Amino acid sequence: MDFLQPLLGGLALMGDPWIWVAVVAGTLFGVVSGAMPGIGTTLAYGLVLPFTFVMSPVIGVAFLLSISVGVGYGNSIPAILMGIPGNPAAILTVIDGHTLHKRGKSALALAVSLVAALSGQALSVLMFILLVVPLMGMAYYFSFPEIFGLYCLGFVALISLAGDNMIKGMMAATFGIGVGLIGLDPINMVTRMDFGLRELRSGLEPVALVIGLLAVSELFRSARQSFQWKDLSGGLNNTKWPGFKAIKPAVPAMFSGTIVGTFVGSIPGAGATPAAMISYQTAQMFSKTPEEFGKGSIEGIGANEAAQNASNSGELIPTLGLGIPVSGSMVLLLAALTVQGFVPGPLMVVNAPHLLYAAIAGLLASTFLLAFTGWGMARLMLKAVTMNRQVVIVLALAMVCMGTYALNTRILDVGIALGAGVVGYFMLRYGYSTAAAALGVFLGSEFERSLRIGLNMNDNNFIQFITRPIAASIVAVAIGLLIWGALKRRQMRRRMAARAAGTAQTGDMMVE
Amino acid sequence: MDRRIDLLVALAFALLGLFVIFQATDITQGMMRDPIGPRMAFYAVGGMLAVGGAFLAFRHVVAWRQGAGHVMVSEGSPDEPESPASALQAFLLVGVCLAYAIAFQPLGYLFATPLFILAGLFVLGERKWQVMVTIAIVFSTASYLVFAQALSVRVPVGPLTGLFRDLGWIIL
Repeated sequence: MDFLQPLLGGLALMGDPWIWVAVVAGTLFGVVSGAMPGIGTTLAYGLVLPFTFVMSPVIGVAFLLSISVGVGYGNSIPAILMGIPGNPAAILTVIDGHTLHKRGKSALALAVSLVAALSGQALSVLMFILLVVPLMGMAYYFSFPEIFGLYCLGFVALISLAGDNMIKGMMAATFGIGVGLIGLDPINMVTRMDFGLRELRSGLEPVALVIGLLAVSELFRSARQSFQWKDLSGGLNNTKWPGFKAIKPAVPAMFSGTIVGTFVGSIPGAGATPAAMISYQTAQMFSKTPEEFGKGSIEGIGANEAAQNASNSGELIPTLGLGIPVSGSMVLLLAALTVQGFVPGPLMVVNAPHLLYAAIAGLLASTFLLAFTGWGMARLMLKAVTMNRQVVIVLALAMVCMGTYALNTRILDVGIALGAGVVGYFMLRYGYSTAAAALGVFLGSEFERSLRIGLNMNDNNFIQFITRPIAASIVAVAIGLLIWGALKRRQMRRRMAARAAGTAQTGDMMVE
Repeated sequence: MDRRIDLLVALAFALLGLFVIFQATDITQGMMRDPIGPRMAFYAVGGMLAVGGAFLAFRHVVAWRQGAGHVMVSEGSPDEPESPASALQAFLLVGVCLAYAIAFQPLGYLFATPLFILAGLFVLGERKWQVMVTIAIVFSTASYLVFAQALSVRVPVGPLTGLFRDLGWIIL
């Protein structure tokens, strides 16, 4: 497959009116969800997942990805207006954007975030195509040992999802793996951990588990408090478009943010948060006014927002190219495709290239849509912030219950989602990453399956199994990334601690 | 964050780990033997949970011996600082959800859902009954139409089954 074909395929799909119906619905839903604090891409995916089961796979993929684009833009609203980061990646938007809002420059901050989000998204789609096509060419060389290597690579993603406490992150992932392993043994087909219950013989429904861990848990946690979002917002004091001249200084930062975002997003073990942090640092390094970073710099907002949206396309590279999801929302995207009968893996997109075209069409169409309607939607997003929070929580729960029931028309699945939600509530409260657990559900069973079947195919000889050239190189890359990730993580924490100490010191001096 | 509850959560994980190891010994080996076998993955999972949980618990005990108090820096998602938080409220909502799941089939979607929405909103502190009833009825009816009629999901309607069948709305 050449490089133009996916782009042309994606553009051709954009001629289908149903794609546009899905994209308009998805983008609107994404923007509204993003604008509501606490609802990120993953929860938004969780809420609409059942609707995708009745769509054709192409429409479903375009629909889900247009939600990602919408959320990427929408979540800058609570970050700028209320100082609440919708996800960890938006923390830096809060620092600069909220400072500008307090200075009465909300419109400038919102405009920069809109332009950055859209340009970052559009450019990164092209980079996505350039990177995913060579991966697809390699797919036919992949057998069980190579797939085992890919799952090792997937485990590296756990580093970034693990949260502050690594041990807790690893325990969360292990818990997810354990729950995902319940059911039939991949070789002997003996039942495992079914406790004599017929319903558990073929395992717990993974989609219900993942929705419970990622979406229901967050809703239960939100139910701890009753307040209205609008009470936290200072309102928008100026909604006039500031003009491109005002935004221009942030353009180089947006460009570097896009490149960094796509690459970092595609690495298992990275994702949107490191993408945003690294691009913020890069932009500060090249900036003519580095001292403004952290005090209301539009370059900072530009770099950060562009990187966040670009990492959407970056995350798709391992998800569609190799079948390895690297974030919570990508786990749900693959779950949606599994329900449609696709088998995640390196051959998925090779056998069904229309999925790739659909992804490109979804990302491009919603970017195009936001380019024309984005500023008008800013007003709509302010309305979303005034919605009654309690009603949103209860209706979202009702939708999740109905959605998980619709999976197999089984009430047991609702029970599984609620049970996983309760476990997830404690995990969220006490710092065990639910995203790591969800990834564990997805990776664990496939990891075991590819290892054991692969060993069987290689005369049960581990040396023969692991020395196949591609498998060995992937495992080596995984180990390399693991070490690099662990070192980077340590470095970042040290730097943050030093910065915190520095701020405290300045604070003390000011008090004196 | 309360150190005592964090300790309990860690111990719960450790116990779960031991339980998994214990249960894994019951898994039959099967006819076809392979070097890893059907039990190994569960031994690994159980071992990780048990060791990790025990290590976290041990760290808390050491912190106590060094004079650290019950309150520690939160490692989880924090609540909004301006508004009071209640774990009881969250658990009441969990209870309402479980009751909804149990009532789903016998009462049917069109009765269970409005009741769930009313109870859920009540638990979260809403008291404007007219608004609540309107939301409950409109959402339940609209979502039923979307799921059962448009998406062809087989949604139980409880006591209305006979009536809907006579009207030709459901074919079962």
